[in-house]
Amino acid sequence: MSVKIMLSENRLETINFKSKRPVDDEYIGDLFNQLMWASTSLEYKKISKQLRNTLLDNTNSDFDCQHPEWFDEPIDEVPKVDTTICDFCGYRESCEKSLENLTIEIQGLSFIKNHGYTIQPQDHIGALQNCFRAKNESSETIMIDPFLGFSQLSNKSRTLYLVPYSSVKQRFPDQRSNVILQSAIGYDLKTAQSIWPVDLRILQLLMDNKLIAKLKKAIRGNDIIYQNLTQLDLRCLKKINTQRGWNHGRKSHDYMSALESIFSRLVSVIKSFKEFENIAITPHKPYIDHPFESTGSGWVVIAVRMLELEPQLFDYLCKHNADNALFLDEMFNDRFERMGGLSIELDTDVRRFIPRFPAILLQPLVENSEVKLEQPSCRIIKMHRVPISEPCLLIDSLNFELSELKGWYFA
Amino acid sequence: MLEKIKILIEAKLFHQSGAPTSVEIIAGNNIAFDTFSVGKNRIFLCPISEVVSAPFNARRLSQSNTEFIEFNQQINQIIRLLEQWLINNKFISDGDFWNYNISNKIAQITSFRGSSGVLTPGNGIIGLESELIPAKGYDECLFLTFDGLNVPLAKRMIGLIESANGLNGFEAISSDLSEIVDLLISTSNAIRGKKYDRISFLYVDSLIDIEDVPENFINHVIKHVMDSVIGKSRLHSHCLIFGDLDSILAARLESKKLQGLENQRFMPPFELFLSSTNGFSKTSLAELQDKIQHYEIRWGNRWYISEYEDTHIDCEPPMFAFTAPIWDGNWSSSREISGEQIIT
Repeated sequence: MSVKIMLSENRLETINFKSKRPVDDEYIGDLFNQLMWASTSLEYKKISKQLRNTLLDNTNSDFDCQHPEWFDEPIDEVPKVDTTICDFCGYRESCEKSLENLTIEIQGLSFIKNHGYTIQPQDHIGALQNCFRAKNESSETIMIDPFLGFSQLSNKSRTLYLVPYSSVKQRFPDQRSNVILQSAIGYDLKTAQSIWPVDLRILQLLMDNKLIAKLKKAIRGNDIIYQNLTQLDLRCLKKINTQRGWNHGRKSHDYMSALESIFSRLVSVIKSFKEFENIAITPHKPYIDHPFESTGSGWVVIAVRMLELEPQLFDYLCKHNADNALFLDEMFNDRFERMGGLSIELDTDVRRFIPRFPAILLQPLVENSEVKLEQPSCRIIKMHRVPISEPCLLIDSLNFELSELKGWYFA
Repeated sequence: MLEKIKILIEAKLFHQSGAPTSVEIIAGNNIAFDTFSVGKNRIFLCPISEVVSAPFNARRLSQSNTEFIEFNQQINQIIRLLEQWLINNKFISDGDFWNYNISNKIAQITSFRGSSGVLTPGNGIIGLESELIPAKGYDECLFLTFDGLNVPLAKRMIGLIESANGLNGFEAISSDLSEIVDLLISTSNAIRGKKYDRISFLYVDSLIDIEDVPENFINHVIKHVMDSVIGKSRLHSHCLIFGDLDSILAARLESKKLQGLENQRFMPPFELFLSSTNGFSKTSLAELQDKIQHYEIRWGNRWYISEYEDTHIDCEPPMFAFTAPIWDGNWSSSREISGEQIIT
């Protein structure tokens, strides 16, 4: 069962927090009373106009009235009003600026393989309400939308998801060496890993089957003159090798020379494709544009990410470089572990990658479990310590339907 | 503790000329997000436990003012129209992701340069190319340059004796771009020259009683933080932690739960001030660095260690102060954001 939370923050209040002003004029009170008891629409409108004109005397003039036509005013002379006037407005019920309180529905969601554990939002109403509470300038407690600035749907009625942290971790595994995720922009469902800005540009090319076919042709062909890697790129490749822990950290002479050889071939191949040139000439910053601590000239990073995002190319490369393949067989040591049935089984035709969703961490009161604030599929923006049995995330799925992704159990 | 730091910062500000600055203490759920003013420096002091919520704090405050909400509505409209146009013209296929991605980038730019930065050519979203046409003037083209795209949107001619006025004068290169270009120009005109608050969040902690830390040592560190950080960018978050060697040896950093969540927010460069190098052996210093950094998130050796040269201080055990930028969801000092990407 889902939980609904009413926000005291609606669009009108969001636009102007400070515009409420005290109204202690008895005349206004009388008019408002008359408005409530007006028997005809004509009378209702007449009193509305009187009330509005009186309130306009001390207006904060915060924004244009949205419906001057209802008050029979010319639209080129729109009066400036404030939220106090809107509170007493006779047209309030129909005005789009005066939206009703917004409702956030919270639905429980668990990974289907999470040992049968599901989270029921209705068991944690108090904890969930905590996520929305804030104090305004007058120290009054109000219910805000905590995802303002993180979600385009903030301050709109929508559904959020309460998911156990362990479910999120299981559903969206990542390469073990991806630990600095601050600037990762999304998650690749096909290869089960985080993606960075440069990856998005590479993926856009790799998702073109014609280009993949051309790449394969170039890999197996003899038209390309292979060049050795530059010292800069060689150093970069070695650093990536260490960072990724390829070949289980073993760096035998044969392995390292096979690694150098295969990447010099691949870099030579992709250099012959104009499509990759634009990516390579854009300067890349380590940990911001890609997951590595070193960039080199840019070509090696593209080559590595290409193989990591399209593992079939690595297999193809090995197939056509049998001498090197012998030493590179176990290079991507965690590729199959990550993909081990799970992401293949859960692979979706709907989309290849998803954004990193903003999330609020509900952390048990006493426990200080090892929650990672930057997750491959979401970024924790806020934390609340609440009475809850295990860490959970309140996720705003942006405009993306989580139900489109397989592997979830809806509570 | 926060009160003491507040008093010392205010005293420092009192002697410092420049923009008026307010110092406020906030703690969980107490952000008065509607207290916006224009062109002022503001410092928010928060307990270190709040650092996990740094992204929320920073963005909530920066995006809650009236002007920003209006700007946001216009920008969202531009994004929606651009997304549709790019899909129609087959520049992108996944509009949802593109929308999310560019919105993220805009949030980054806004935090660093304010909303006016979003429509400044050369920021990674729009670009401008200018070609001198002899005897005529400058033929200028406005591009969408986000995410590897380089799509011309509008053109204008600036006469030799004329000067460009923002984006005024640009005309869409095709009729289906007219609405987008008009919106770009009107939004750009509405935000040009606007002044914004400069907001700094300072997350503070002391592993020992703050009264035991010599005031001139605190002042020295506060001066450094104020001079190098506060008010330098539009929105910035920083941490400041005091402690002594005993608090490290007794593993109080760990008992204070820094090891689990809070230190995941620390970003390089890490700065360590020592009240004296006496008593800090290489081993204890390494242990201190090790405990401050998250055991898994290692940014490389980006430590700056300095000794406070004041012979009046003779702390036993020696004290330290640690400061570092805090990850608040914004690359406020990133050269990538300001269009000056680098290769390392």
